[in-house]
Amino acid sequence: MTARLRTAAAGVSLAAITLFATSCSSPTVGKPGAGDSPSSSANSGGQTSLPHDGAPKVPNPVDISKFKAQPCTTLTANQLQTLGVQGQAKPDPQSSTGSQCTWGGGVEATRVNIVFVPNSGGLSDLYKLNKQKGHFYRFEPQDPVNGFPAVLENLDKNQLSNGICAYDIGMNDRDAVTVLLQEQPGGNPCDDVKQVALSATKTMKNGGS
Amino acid sequence: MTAQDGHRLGGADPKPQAQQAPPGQPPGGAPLPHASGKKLYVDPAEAGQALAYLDQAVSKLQESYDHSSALDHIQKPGNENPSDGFAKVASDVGKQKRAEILQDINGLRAMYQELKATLDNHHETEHANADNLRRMQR
Repeated sequence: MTARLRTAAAGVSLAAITLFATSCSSPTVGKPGAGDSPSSSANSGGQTSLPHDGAPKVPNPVDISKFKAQPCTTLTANQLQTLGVQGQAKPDPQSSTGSQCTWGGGVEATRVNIVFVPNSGGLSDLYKLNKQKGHFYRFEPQDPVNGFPAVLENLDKNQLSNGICAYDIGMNDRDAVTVLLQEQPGGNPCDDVKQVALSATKTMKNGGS
Repeated sequence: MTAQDGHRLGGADPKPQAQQAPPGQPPGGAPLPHASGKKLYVDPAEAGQALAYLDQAVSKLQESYDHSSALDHIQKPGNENPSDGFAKVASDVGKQKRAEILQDINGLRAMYQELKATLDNHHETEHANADNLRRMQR
């Protein structure tokens, strides 16, 4: 009887250790996912399936792993010319805040920053963050951009008046891309950032052309 | 952009005035003499380089702004209290940084625009003077 109890207690301890190890081995920061398998979505704050927290499912997901590795290929030279974005592209694929590329910048030039969100829950993670009171100043789902679900995002009330606006786009259920635009105050940065988002999603949809 | 760089920003005003406030901040509620909050004295020959420095400074600040914005997208690692705290601190730090950076960008932007307008005005005057001289010499 005692031996059986001991065995049962050991079993319970082992289960507890296993559970603890599972809960502590799923950090999401800086661990971008490459594929689209639902099994790995346990990284997304303990959620079991994607999408969650009201995020839309990406109807036609694309694999963006090669763009994550080379973030500056998300906008082509022609697109940059059309958008009027000047200046050298600055890639930063190892950034702790997510693989990213920046174009332009300065007092008079428009600056574009494209970031691959460093979570593995895609738009679902951003929808989850939005449920925290006051996290985003503005978080408004938009019409799909080239078929990809999109959200207009302002982190605080100062952004718009300072010529700053961002779009979050779900490229697949696990990967979201943020397009952040900074321009001279007085324009309409949210309209402009949508144009950049259209270009970037077109490139990724077409596989880089 | 200090004296070491060879620029004379504020050079005609060697002793810092107590009422001079940092860019974008009015000194003690007094009306600002300039949009940038401080009068600039730059040799016209070097003004182009000063503008380039200001432009680069704004660009660097915008880069910091990008990174501080991305801090708001960090997902908490787990569902326990320390993870909540981690995510909240990341978000709060990002928010604070963004506010400070925007203030700096606006101050430098005002300096840039003021300096550029002054330089344009200076060039126009110089051209007009040169034209007048040519007319007088005929």
